[in-house]
Amino acid sequence: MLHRIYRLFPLLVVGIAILVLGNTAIYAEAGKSQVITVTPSSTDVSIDPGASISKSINVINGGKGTFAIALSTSPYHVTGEEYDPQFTQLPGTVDASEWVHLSTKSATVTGNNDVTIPYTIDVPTNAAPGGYYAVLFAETSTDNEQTGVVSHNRVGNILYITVNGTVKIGGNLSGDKLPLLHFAGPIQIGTKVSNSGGTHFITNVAYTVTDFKGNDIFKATFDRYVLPQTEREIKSSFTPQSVIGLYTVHRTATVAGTLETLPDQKIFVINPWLLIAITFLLGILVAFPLQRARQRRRSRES
Amino acid sequence: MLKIITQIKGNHYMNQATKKIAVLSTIPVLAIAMVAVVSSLQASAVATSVNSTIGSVISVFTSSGTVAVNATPSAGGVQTIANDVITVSTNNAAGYTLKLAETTASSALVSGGNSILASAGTLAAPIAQAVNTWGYRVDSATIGGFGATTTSPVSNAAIGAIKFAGVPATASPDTIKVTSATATNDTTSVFYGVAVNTATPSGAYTNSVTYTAVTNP
Repeated sequence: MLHRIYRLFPLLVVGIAILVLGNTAIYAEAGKSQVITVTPSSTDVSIDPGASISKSINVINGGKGTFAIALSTSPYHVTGEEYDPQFTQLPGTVDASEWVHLSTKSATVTGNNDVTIPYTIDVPTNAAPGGYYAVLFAETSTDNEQTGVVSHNRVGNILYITVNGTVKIGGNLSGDKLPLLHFAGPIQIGTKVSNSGGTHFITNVAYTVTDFKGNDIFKATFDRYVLPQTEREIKSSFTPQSVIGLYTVHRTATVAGTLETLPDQKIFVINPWLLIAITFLLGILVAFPLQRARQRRRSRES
Repeated sequence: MLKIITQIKGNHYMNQATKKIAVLSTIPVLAIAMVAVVSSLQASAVATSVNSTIGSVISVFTSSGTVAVNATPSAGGVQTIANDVITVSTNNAAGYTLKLAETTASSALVSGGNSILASAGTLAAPIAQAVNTWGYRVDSATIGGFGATTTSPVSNAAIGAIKFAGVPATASPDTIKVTSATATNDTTSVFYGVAVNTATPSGAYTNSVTYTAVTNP
């Protein structure tokens, strides 16, 4: 009987696998999921005033079914140091999305296929030199037959447009003071890169943490856009591995092409349990002689 | 005789000197030749380079395309919560931002002439559901005021204290996820809640929402 069970065991496993995978496939087929992908997801171009440039966006249908897509453009700017994207026009700025002319505003993409949508960016002759921003969206279509909460998926290609000419560039690097004493968990390391110029630049931020011997124990680098007239916070975190240690944090960043460095900061890290143990030992070392002295005094008095 | 010997010796020394000069003169010639050979080899090595530009991509898909938040009302009111799972992938090193907004100008769940109004709560200040309203929430301690409470889908349950916000207008979408690195099939659950009592007319109610995913600069 036991032998029979052993023999049937592989068949049982294969059977369960077929059942589980088979059900998954049926579930996936039954769903009306629309997998939409765009490439590129960002486009950085430089154009002379009055000139045009031709580009294209590729929209990929990663699902099995056919879906229709709607293409549109919107203004683009960011708010806050966290760079929350907004698809509206900043008051007093030029709406660069009006410069983008799509060859079509709708298309149909069959399953596991893609379509290429050409577009042009036509810069007006009177456009001042500097950075302009827009976003090109591809959105899945509406199915009017559905009820409930019907979802549409939209993906964007952010356009970083530089109108050539003389433009002011500049910025600043700053950073919050790091804690001198740290007990547990990750240490947040951050810098703020501001752009006081008229166009975007890419900042290369580098964080290095060295131990008391000067050995590198943590390194992180980031390349991030900094848009004009904004300040961006770029964060990282380092988790000390030792229970006690003295670390030095080095922070550098390129600001409008110039390497800038923040003053090095020391952080003393001690595990809270180790601190409690040391405090306890110190308490004993102080209390023991005091107790003995008190006992001597009492014996002398008696 | 002595003169002849001297002359022979002189010739002999001359020959030796000539040989030395000849040998020495070949050294710079060989050196130049070697430099030329090495340079040509180096030149051919530099000529071969491999370049590859990896294009940036972002994709988004939802689990079903529609979320059924069906409810059978009671006089005191019932609440149904159902969720949608949004999956985003991108090779952008700065990550992505996912936003949610209404697709059209209507913020209510509509069935012909009847409607279930949007919750008065907002992303920053979500509220417990009032009767005959609908809204959304994400379980997050960092996004808005929802909190990290784990929400579970329910059907026709008593109206709970769990907080919801109304889906914002098309022009001002709410940020429901922010990442800072490349993502492969990164999922976000958005919960939709409907709270109704018997004052809500029966019918198939609909609203359209748009999830927007863009790469971070």
